[in-house]
Amino acid sequence: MTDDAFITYRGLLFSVAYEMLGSAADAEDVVQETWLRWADMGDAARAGVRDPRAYLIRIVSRQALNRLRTLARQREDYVGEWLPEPLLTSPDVAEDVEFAESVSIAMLAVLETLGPTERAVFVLREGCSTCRTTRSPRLWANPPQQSGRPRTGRESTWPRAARGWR
Amino acid sequence: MAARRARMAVSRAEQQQVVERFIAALTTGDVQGLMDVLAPDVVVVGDGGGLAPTVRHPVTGRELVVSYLSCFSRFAPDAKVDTLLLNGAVAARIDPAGELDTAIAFVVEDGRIARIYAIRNPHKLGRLDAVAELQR
Repeated sequence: MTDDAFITYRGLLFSVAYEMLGSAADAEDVVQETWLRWADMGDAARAGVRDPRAYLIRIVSRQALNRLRTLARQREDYVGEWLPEPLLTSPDVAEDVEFAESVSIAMLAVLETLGPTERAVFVLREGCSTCRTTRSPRLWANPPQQSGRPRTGRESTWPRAARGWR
Repeated sequence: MAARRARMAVSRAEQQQVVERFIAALTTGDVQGLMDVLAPDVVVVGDGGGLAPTVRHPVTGRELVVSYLSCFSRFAPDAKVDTLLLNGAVAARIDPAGELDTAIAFVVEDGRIARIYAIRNPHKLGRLDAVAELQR
């Protein structure tokens, strides 16, 4: 019974990881790592988690961010343009306009132009719309200041990239 | 944000209709049909990953894109092109020899195609036979 919450949110965790990474294979690895963490906690610790959904999103985001930093270096050497790995989706996803937008190839292609941390912020705050309702995921030792956007010197490009995805 | 959402809210029926018009023009080499279905500032982005030939850099502008795409029916006269739902939108797959070769995603705007993403890297085409467990 230890993985009940994990199974419940597996699809959501995969979606967050996929939006972060643009790669289903990497997203699956990250979800697997998340499961290992969750299983390793022990029954008592798991029972003490008040909001398993938020907690699991936090783990998967951290794991995805680590993976993204590694991938970002590899993708610098990619031959030609890099596009996300497409996924076959159910009609339900297409009917949900906001969700369809956040997983669209166009959106994932734009997210690829952001730095790893910027991308994590964007996915958790704007892309993954249901994550916004959870308590702010503490991904960073120093939480981003008032606007929630990291000041990385690319700030001026940030909203433009996000809006100019088409 | 609101403007972006509004632009995106193209119904699936409209996406389907536009993509089917595109496929019909592409497979028959119909230059005028391609001109009609593409936006003037259409962009084609291709990803071959160094493993499959594609446009190395994005191709911008309808004339250039049409001249590029109008050869398709001559190079692959028997290619099967079908629509499917990829990443929540109407997309296309090309199967020239009964085998998946290219996945194409689109951005549809005002009844025309504004962007074409052609994914040809074979490592990225392995998951189009089973529906992904995306969930929000």
